[in-house]
Amino acid sequence: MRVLLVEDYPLLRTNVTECLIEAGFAVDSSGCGEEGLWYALNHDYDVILLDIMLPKLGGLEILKKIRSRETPTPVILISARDTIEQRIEGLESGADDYLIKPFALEELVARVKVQIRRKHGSTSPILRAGDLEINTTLKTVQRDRHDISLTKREYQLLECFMLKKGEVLSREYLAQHAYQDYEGGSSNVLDVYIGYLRKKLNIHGLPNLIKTKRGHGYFLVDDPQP
Amino acid sequence: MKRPSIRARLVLWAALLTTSILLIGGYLLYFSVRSSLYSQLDRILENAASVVIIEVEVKDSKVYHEWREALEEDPYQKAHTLIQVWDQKSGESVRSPALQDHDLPKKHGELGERVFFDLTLPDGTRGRAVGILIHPVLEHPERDPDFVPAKHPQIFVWAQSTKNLQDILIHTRTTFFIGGLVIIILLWIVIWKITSYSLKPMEIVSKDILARPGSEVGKPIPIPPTLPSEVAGMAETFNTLLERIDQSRSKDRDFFLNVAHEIRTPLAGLHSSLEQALRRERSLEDYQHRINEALDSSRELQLLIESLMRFGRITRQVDQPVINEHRLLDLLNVIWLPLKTRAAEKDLTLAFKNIDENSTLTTDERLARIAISNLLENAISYASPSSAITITQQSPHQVVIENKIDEHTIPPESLSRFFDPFYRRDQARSDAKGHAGIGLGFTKEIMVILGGSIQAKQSKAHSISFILNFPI
Repeated sequence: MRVLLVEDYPLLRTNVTECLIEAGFAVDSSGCGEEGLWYALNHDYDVILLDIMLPKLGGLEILKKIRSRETPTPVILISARDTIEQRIEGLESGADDYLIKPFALEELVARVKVQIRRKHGSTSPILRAGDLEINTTLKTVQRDRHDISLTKREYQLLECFMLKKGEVLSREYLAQHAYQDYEGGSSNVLDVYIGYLRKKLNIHGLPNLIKTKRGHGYFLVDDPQP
Repeated sequence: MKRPSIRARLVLWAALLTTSILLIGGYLLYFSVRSSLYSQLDRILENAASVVIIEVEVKDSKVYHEWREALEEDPYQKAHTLIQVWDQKSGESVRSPALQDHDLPKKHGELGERVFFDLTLPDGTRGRAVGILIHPVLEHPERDPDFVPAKHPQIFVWAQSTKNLQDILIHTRTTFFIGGLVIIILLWIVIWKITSYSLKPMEIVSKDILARPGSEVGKPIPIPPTLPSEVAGMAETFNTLLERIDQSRSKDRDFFLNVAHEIRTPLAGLHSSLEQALRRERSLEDYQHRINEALDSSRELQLLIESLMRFGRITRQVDQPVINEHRLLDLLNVIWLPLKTRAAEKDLTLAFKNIDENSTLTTDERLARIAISNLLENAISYASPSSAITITQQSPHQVVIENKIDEHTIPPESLSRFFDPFYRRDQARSDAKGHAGIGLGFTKEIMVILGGSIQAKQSKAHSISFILNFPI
């Protein structure tokens, strides 16, 4: 899942970025309002974390510009401005959540996850597709009630598929949303990881869940036929 | 403390005024009526006397009073007519029967002149009389050729009771008094009612203000079009005051919100550094790096808190100024010394205009050093690289600090807000350039304490001037 962080206080930006990456998110970060807006309008993010007091362009203006383009990406405002009026102003400008500084990084991660689940129409941290089940909080995977051990990258890929099950996901989309260090280009690293993931999921001769749509990408089938 | 009442004043003064007018008016009217009645009475007396005096005749060389015969014929006249005539030559007098043996006052003027006067009649009542000096009428001069009337002057006095007239005057006085009293009471009531009605809107406005809930105290009071202009004017003045109070409160609120914001952001950085450090096992270098980051944030917080403490001391005027004359050049050199390194990093130079060895500035040295130092620090932070910061002494009491800036123009509203604590043209902390955001606010407070003022001006493009006016 890809997150955009726009925060001008460098220490906080660094720590939040690091924490989100450790939590399994791919993160783009910026300390400038104008640059942040460019990122938001030109990339597909699962969540945007936005400070309000930013240089060049304030967070609320960025938010209004994002919403004026009818971009549905969840936005969490992070600010030291804590009055009721300020929170109402932020939420009424189109924010989905408002987090007051200083905050616990764990709480921030939890709120980001909530927004991602909501975006994909789920309220539970447990995602299911047929006999496959993943717990996004514990980061555990089971198929046909058997635990499956995945690496961090494999898990991130699977979570992307689970949140958009049935949808054909391009290689670029998967790389952008699953990997922090994606640089674009024609690397076949992604195909390798999808291969690993398929192998691990196809336990005990169970049908393949991740299908290939040639020339378009991959998709996760909700109810695989044997 | 009992406060003066507008209503009581209005009623009292209006009542006093109307009472005075009524009293003076009534007095004048009464005396006009009285005078008119007396004139009428005098005319009656005069007419009657004029008819009767020709009845003092000369017959057979003697003065004969024919009027007495006429009285005898009319019993009413006989009983009421009061006439006495004195013969000046013989000294004898003739009275009408009604006078019995009483005398009337012997008053008269020149020959033929009617002299009117008040008197007390024999029965004790008040009366009015006319006295005339006459010569008896010589009816048949041929019969009394030797009688010379001029040698037998007669004093004729006719008196008349004024009881009726007095009754009329008493009645008039009573009517005036009662009427006046009724009018005064009615006027008092009317004035009271009018003042109550006129002051009612003031009471309504007062009640409206008092009935407001705490959350609406600062809101302007409504001024309906029906509100009288005097009260509306006062309400508008009150609203202006409320607006100023609200602005001041809003400034205070912004100050505290800004303080909270300024503290929270480095605190969030500090918090996140420590949280990240403890999140998992790390190498010693990583721990050291994170602790150093946290220390940097805590230093930033410390700087902010120290700045706030200094600001608090300055605004509470704990430090009282000690005014002396100082050599300006020495003062500026002392201020510039610790700033030189930072200025050199941006290749900034300091230039003086109209300042030489003899230039002086009369001020508190310590406070002036803080004020000018803050301005120079600000200039170093925001000046265009490789430019000059110029300090000019425009007059013995005015110092101007000017520096080049990258921006072409600064909006006037920003210039006026430069001295607001934590004000930044750009909202972000990154615009702070290492400042707590209250340096210029400090400088303004210091100048106020010194009895002077400070102003930010942009007299030309890509330049900004801070004008310090020290008191004369």
